Amino acid sequence: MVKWLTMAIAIVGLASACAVEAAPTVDISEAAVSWGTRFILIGTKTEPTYVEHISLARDGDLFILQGGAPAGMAPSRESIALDANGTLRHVDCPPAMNCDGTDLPSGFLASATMLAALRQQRLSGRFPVVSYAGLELICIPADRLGVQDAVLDPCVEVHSGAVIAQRHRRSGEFDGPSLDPWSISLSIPDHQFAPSM
Amino acid sequence: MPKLSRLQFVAGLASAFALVGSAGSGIAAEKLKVAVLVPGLANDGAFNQAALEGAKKLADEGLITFEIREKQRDPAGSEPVIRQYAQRGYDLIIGHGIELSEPILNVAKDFPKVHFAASGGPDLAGKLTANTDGWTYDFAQYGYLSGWVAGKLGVSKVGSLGGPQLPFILAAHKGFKGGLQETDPSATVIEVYTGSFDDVQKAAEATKGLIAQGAELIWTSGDGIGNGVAAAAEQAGIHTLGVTGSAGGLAQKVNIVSVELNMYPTFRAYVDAAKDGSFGKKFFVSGLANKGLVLTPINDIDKRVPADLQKQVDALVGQLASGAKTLPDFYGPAK
Repeated sequence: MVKWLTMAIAIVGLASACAVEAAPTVDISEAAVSWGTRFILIGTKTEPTYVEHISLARDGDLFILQGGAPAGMAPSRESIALDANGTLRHVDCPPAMNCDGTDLPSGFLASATMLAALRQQRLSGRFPVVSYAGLELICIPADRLGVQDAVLDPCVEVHSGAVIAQRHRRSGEFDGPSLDPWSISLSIPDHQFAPSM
Repeated sequence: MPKLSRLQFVAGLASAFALVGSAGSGIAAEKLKVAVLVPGLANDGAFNQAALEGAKKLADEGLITFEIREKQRDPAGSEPVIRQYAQRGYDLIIGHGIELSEPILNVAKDFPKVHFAASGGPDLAGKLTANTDGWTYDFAQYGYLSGWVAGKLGVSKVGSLGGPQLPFILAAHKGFKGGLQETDPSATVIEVYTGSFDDVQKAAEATKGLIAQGAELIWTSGDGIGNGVAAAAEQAGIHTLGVTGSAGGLAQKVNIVSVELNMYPTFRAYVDAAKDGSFGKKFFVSGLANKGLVLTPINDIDKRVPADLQKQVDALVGQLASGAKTLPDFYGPAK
């Protein structure tokens, strides 16, 4: 795991050195090679009338998302499995959701959508690194993941592939389902990223 | 030792009594010393800011001095902070957010002379003690007010879009339909849930579907997915209710109004009770009647909003407050 993380950091570093005065970029395929098979992301998203607690976990090829409710209330749970060929299949399908495989997850579970696109070799290229809550993220244009008429682009943490935030295509600002920067706790086995904000 | 004037002596005596008095005996001090703990950042324009604004208004009225502590989401971290405020002689300590509920109740046991206020669900009511009051709000009334306003906008078909089918969201949708039915019985509702609290794209697609079915106005109960609603509505030239935040700048173009929390009435009730000695075991439910849920400023995009809408809302609030009007139980089983 440490070796992979070192490699990921090296990718960012190399990109930084090559692009003088330009934002460093990361090659998504190379970054993905460095990702482990597990992470746990916990944070909050503050709404006008409550604070919702959100968790996203990757356990091998299973991605589990919980949230949508204030603390103390039963949250919504959605999980999705990814096979070796990059096919996504819902394991936990929340009530009312269409889980027949035609809708690609574009929120926090875009972590799985992105990995599916990488496995199917539909996604490649370098993307600029942006800072969010002291973490390094890259925002992937959602249409590159197969999302049509995209409103937001998912932004993933470069060392884990965890979707932390979303960037609005129109304003270029972090918006919508983005974790409160001060609340984020991302655990990768052997490593902890706790923003100091 | 300097000599005290008679007035200073009396004022000092009053302060001393305020410090040693029990929570139930009231506080003679002119300004209460209040600590407000919030789970996030107090300038978030949302839940946490509602607490800051409530406290600010009380301070502006000269009723309190206050200190706000942010990022108190973790109970293990917030409990010592609450304890510290209690030890420092604060009169009232408010935990704004469910995550602060247990720490507030834990510390309150050890400081019977300090007043504490906790947030929680309806089960909090049974946990309150002689020096704790509690608060929650009625999410169904959040929907009711939105529906009530929708019925004033002269549309015949309204789209209602939700995220996950969680109990508090289902109650808000029942409230919405109740409010709409009341102000425009002829209007119909087409309702869709995407099942997701975070998938903006699903919300955009669902909104397009509602518009394709003839919806002339879209209400959304989902805060996180409002970006999708706003994007699809703007594309179709349709207006919305309930979109929060800027939505990439689109909220200003499409959203007429939303409902937000107003913590002032509840905080004021805490302060009044602490002063008159009636504090303890009281459970406040923010809703329309006590102005705990209010409309955001109206954005009359296409001049379809009645000029006296706020006055009409005020009249509704008056009827609810006086008991002349009651609302049905929106949390019950679907009819």
